[in-house]
Amino acid sequence: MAEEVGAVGRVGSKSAAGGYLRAVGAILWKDIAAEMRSRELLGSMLVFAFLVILIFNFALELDLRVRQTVTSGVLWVTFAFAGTLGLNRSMAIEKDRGCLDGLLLAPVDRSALYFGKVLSNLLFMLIVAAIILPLYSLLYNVNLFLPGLIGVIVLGSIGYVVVGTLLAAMAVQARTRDILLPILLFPVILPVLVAAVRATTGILQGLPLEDYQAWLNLLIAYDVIFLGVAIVSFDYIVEE
Amino acid sequence: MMFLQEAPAETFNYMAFGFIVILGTMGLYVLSLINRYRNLERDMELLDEVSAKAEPSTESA
Amino acid sequence: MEPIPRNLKILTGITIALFLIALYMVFIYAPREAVMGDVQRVFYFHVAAGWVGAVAFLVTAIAGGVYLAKRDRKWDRVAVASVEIGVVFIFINIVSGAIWARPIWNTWWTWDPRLVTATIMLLLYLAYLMLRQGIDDPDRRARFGAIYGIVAFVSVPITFLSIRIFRTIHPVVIGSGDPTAEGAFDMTPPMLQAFMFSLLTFTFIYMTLLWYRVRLGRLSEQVEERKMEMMSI
Repeated sequence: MAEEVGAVGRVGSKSAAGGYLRAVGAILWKDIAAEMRSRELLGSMLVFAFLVILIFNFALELDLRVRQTVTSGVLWVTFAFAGTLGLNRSMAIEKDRGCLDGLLLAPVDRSALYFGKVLSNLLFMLIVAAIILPLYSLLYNVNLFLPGLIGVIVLGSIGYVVVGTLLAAMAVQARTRDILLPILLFPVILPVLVAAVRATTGILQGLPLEDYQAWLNLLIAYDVIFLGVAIVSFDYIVEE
Repeated sequence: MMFLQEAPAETFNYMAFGFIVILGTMGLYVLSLINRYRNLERDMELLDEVSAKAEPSTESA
Repeated sequence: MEPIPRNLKILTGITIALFLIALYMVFIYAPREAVMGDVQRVFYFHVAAGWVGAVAFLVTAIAGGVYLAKRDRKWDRVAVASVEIGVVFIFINIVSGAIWARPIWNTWWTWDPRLVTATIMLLLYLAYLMLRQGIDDPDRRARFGAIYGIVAFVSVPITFLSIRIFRTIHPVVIGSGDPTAEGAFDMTPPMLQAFMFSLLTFTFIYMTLLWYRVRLGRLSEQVEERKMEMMSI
C-alpha cells in the first residue's frame, strides 16, 4: 500500500496535466494491484450477483415468454445490488486502511482522487458484468452478446459509479455505513435504472434505434450532469 | 324537466377523509414543533439550575 | 427562551388569516365539480402541499450550497428545517393524491409521473435525514447534508422526465389513456382563484413553519452546547 501511495506523491512534481493523469492512473493501479492480491471485491460481487440471479430464477417464473420482458430488469437489479457491494467495500478499504489520508497528502487536485476511484469502481463493475452476461446467457439461453447491449451497460455503469462513488465517500464515514449507501443511492440512481432497463429491453427485442434512443440520451445526459456535480462536490467531502 | 348531464359523484366521504389527513398532519406537525420547543426550554432551565448549583462549589474550590 | 420576534408574530397572523380564507374558498366559494363531486376540493390543498414540498427541496439545496460557501451554521439550520417541513408536506401530497384517486379511478395508486416523483422525493428526504443521523461531527454533518441535498435535488427533474418518457411509451391500463392527465377537469374561474389562493396560502404556511423550525434548531444547538460545557466542568 505504501509504495502505491508514494507513487501518487512522486507524481505531483511533473507537469500539471501529466501529473493529474498520472495521479488518476496511480490510484486506479493501486486498486487493481490490491484487488489482484486479495480478490475480495470481485469475489464477493460475483458470488452475490450469481446468488441474486438464482433467487430471481425461483422468485419469478422465468419461462420462455416472460424471460424476454424480464431479462433486462433482472440483469440491472443484479448489477445495482452487486454494485452497491463493490462501492461500499471499495470506499471502506480506503478509510479503514488509512489510504485516504495518504492520498490526500499528495500534491494533486482532489478530483484526481475522485476520478481514480470512479475508474477503479467502474472497472470492477464492468468485470462483474462481463462475467454475469455470459452466465445469464448460458443459464437462460438468451443471446446477450449484442454490441448495443454492451454500450448500454457501459453507459449505465458510468452513471451508477459516478454517483455511487460520491455517495459512498460520504456513507462510509457515517455510523450506519453499510445500510446507508443503498438508501442514499437508489432513489438518486432511479433514472439510470429505468433508462438502462428500457434500452436493454429495446435492444434485446431487436427494436429499431429510434424506439429507445430517448433512453440512451437520458443516460448520457445523466452521466454528464452528475459527473459535473460530483467533480464540484467531492472536494467538500474529503476536506478535512 | 330535461337533465342535461348526470349528477356529480357522491364523494363527500372521500373529501372528508382527504381533508382530515391534510389538516390533521399539518396540525400534528405544528403540535410536535410546540412540544419539542417546550421540552428544549425545560432542558435549558434544568441546565441553568444545575450550572447555578455547580458555581458556588467551583468557586470555593 | 428568546421571545418571538414581532415580524414572526405578524407573519403568523397573516398566515392564519390566509388559511381561514383559503378554507372558505375551497369549501364554499369554489363550486362543486361536475363529474368528481366533492372530493375534487382535495385537489386544491393536494397540489399546494406538493408545491411546498418542491419549494422546500429547492430551499434545502440552495441553503446547503450557501453553507458550503460561507460555513455559517445558520444555513445548515435552514436546510434541515426545510427538509423536515418538506417531508411532512410531500407526505400530505402523496396521501391526499391517493385519496383523490380512489373514487375516480378505483385505485389508491396510479403510476402517474407526479405521484411517483413525489414518492421518490419523500425517499430522498428521508435518506437525507438518515445520512445526517449517522454523522456525529456537526460540521461534517452539515457538509454532507449540503452535498446530498444538492445531488438529490438535481436528480428529481431527471427522475420525473424518465418516468414521463416511460409512461408515454408504456401507457398504463389504469386511468385515462393520456398519461399526462392527472384527473383532468375543467377549472372555472372561481376554482382557479381558489387554486391560486391555496398556493399562496401554503407558501405563507411554509415560510412561517420554516421560521419556527429554524428557531427550534437554534435552541436545540444551544442546549447541546450547554450540555457539552457542563460535561467538561
